[in-house]
Amino acid sequence: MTSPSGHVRLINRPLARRRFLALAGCGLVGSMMVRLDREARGIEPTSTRRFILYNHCNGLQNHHLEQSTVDGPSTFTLRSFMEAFVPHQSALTVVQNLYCSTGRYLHGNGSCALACADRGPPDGAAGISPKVVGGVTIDQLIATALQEQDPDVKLRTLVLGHPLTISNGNCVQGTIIGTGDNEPLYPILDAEEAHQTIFGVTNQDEVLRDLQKSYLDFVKDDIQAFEAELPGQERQKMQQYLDSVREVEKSFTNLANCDEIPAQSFEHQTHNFPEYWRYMQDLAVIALSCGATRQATMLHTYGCVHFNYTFDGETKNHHERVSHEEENGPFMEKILRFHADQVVYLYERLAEIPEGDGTMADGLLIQWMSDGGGRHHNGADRHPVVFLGAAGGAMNTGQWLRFSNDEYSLACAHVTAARAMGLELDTFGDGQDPCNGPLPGALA
Amino acid sequence: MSCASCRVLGHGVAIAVAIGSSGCYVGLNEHDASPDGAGVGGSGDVEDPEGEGPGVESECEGVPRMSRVVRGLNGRQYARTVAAAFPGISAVDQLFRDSDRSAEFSTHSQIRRLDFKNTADVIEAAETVSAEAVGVVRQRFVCLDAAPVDDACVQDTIDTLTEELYRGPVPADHRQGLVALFDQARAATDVDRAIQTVVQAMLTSPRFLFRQELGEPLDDGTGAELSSFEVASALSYTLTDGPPDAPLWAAAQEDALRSPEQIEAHARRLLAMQGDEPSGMVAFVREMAGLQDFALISKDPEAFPAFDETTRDAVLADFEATVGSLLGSDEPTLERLLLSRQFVVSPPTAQLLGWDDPQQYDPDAGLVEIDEVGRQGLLTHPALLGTYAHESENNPVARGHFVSDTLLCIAVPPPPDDVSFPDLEEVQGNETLRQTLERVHSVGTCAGCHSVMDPYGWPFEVFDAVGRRRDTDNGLPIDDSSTILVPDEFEGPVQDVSEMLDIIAGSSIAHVCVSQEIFKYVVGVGDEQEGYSCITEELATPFVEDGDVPSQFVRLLTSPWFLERSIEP
Repeated sequence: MTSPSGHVRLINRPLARRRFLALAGCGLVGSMMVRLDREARGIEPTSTRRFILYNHCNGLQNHHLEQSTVDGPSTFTLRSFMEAFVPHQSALTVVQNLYCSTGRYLHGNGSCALACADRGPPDGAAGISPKVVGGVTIDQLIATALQEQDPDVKLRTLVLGHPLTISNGNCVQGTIIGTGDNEPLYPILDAEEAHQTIFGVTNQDEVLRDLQKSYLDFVKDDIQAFEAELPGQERQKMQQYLDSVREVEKSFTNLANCDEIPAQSFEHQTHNFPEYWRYMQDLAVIALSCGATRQATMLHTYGCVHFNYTFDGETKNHHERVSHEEENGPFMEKILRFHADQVVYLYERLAEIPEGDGTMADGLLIQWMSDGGGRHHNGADRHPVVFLGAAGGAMNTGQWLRFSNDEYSLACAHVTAARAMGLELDTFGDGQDPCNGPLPGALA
Repeated sequence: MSCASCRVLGHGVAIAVAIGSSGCYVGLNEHDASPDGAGVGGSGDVEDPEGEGPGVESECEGVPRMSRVVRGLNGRQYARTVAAAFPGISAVDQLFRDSDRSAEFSTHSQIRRLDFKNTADVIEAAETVSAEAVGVVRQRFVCLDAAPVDDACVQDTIDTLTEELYRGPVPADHRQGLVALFDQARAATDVDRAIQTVVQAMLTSPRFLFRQELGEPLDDGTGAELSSFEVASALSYTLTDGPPDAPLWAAAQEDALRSPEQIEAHARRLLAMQGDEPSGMVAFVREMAGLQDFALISKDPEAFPAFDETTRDAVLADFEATVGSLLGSDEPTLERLLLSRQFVVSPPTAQLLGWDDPQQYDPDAGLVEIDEVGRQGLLTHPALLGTYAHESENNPVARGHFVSDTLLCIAVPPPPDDVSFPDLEEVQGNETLRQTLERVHSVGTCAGCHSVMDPYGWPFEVFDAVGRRRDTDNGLPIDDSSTILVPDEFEGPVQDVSEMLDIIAGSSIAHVCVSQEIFKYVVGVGDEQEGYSCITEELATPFVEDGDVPSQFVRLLTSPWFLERSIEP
């Protein structure tokens, strides 16, 4: 519950709002202001850009990367859970020690890390901010820009998640992805729903399809008529609803020229469910390769680490048993290896698909990170980011960049990704983690 | 801890203290009245000249009226509205989730942000419900069985259903649009599909998904007052979480919901007829207690094998039944909610708490007296104690913060940027959890705020992470004494949880704070509302006097803050 007093917040809220709007070029309305400039930056224009954000809570942390040997920015040896990346080292860009002051809060700081925008102070006994997200997250900013580049894509974004296996009061928010200030976007947590979202209703006859169109046309007209009856400050609710109906309508359309894989259903509460996650990864690959979308987000354990993993017959809760007891131990390494393998799997699957003179991996950039940052409960403001993919030559790959503390913010990593995807962007977030351009050395 | 500056405002209620050394805050807002004068009762100029309007005199001069005019139905309200229009339909309350789960209350006006995912859920829910509703519609409107179906029958069906689902008059062009959709679907398929299509359109309409409270302009042009239909809907959803019942609907049709007396009569009637379903007041208490996601809570199965899903559901049901029974009694006061030794108990809850002969408990028997040391009031209910605890360990900080924040209006700022959170396993020696936390929290930057909120959590240490009574922790005896501050009313030691609850339950500040929560729940806005502190202070005054929770709902429901709106282009 929010404190009834609101003493500080009432004063701060308008100020925070103004500050936010002043920085809106990299926040709420950033998606409307960015401009694609691939040609201007000399990036190969024929390579279709695709972006994947892969995030798992309390996963990849600064100290985990210390096991690899780094002798210089381009001289490093991948070890431990990073071994899956070895065949793709030339497409890799690893970044360490990025600060993120908006990630300082104890619980659910993930959206801050992905948005670099403050959700406001935690409130209530669980220490959770009343806001779900503080601003647009990097994947959504890029997704909107890529859709502007390719308006025919069916889905602006595809956010696929893995449900928690254990929940408690700290894990109620359901997402860390947002399209704007406190405008959360929830992941699809059901395999069948994800399948239908991508492929549409494939066996619907023409009559019913026409009827569905008429129904949705009626709803859209109705929303606009209702909106006209409302005063100004309430109209945005209807505008959001209208936009969403249009997006949903688009998702109903059948995906042509795409090899559909069978729909599957899964029992979510089963501990450690790699089959489900692999299936969702396959759906993401198909969606990206068939032109259903240009941006996918794999959101494992959305902003909360209460997940039971099973490896080699041993089950442990990530939060209670791993993060609190053996954050750098062998079980944690198994968790990281699992996710590293998933990231590489996504890359390799797309690399198998020819496109132009190369493959679909050519224009791809995968951003692997964790909203947990440095350590669980400690130093959650020191983030590493692993980029995989050259993004059509935009990334200066084969690099391991270790920055000094307080040198560069996580926002700069997001700016780097955005630039690689062709966005003209110098800063990102609400400005608490300032950034004046991409990470030095990260872009070609 | 020191009380550096205290302030007593106009109603004899002490409501603002700043704890200077800690950086934590206690109390309500400064007065934040708008200077523009277009407010409620400011100079008497909003009084209805015929004395029928809701214009209650207010001391909050210049405070603008509420500006929000649409509020999304929450999940429960959606389900009950559908169930009322289509009796016998399967449960629909889990068809889609409430978006923005972290908002203060599910009734907040900013809820139901219909993003892609939620819109997809709404459309899917409409598809599911409409398919099942076809049979119900055919039963209700037998004229649809005729072949061919008469146009007047179609019109009547649509007019009736839209009025019920939208809870008020429906624009003619909207109804005509639905008729056209029906005709198109019927021509392409059959009557059943046509019925399903128009019901699906109704359930996806913003007129159904949002409660509309545009109001009708006041004579002086400074604002608007809700129409009788809007009042009926607002009253009903606030008090029952469902659409207006027949008497309320009739009153709306007769335009007989204009005066505070008329409105209060219906509010009292609705409050008195609460049945088995949790009422809006129960929903309010559940959400104020932070139990919205209790159904998702899990506990360490090794430490608490009895806490399975069945038990969890029973605990929540018992909590709601206890609240409903207490608020439906002849003493429905805040003090009783916080102090009563009477609970509704089911066997799974009794088993979880380790009580003798759990099968003797029958939730249908209503409230029963529980004779267990310290077990009194909702704060000692396992639903609350389990919520404010970890999976296996207690969380006295969370329990203390809930008390300080929600009941005493003590706003604790977030942890500093450079705070370090030690792992408990690493720092706990041969000592109780309290001893460990007191040691850790007594130094550095932790001390400032933890010294404020932790003391309210220590007395609850006699209950474990699922709410069972215990005497030891880590093999050592539990110290459940504490030293607490109740702003302007008490500062000193308490022996145990009972003594602490006695002091808090009888305090003015607890009544003021809960009154604020009621305001947020009923009106659907929080402290972002201009004039919030003035309004809530004014509304709290009678609640401090009588502590009567239903009456406080009624006071608010008959106040201009509920019944009037600002007019904005």
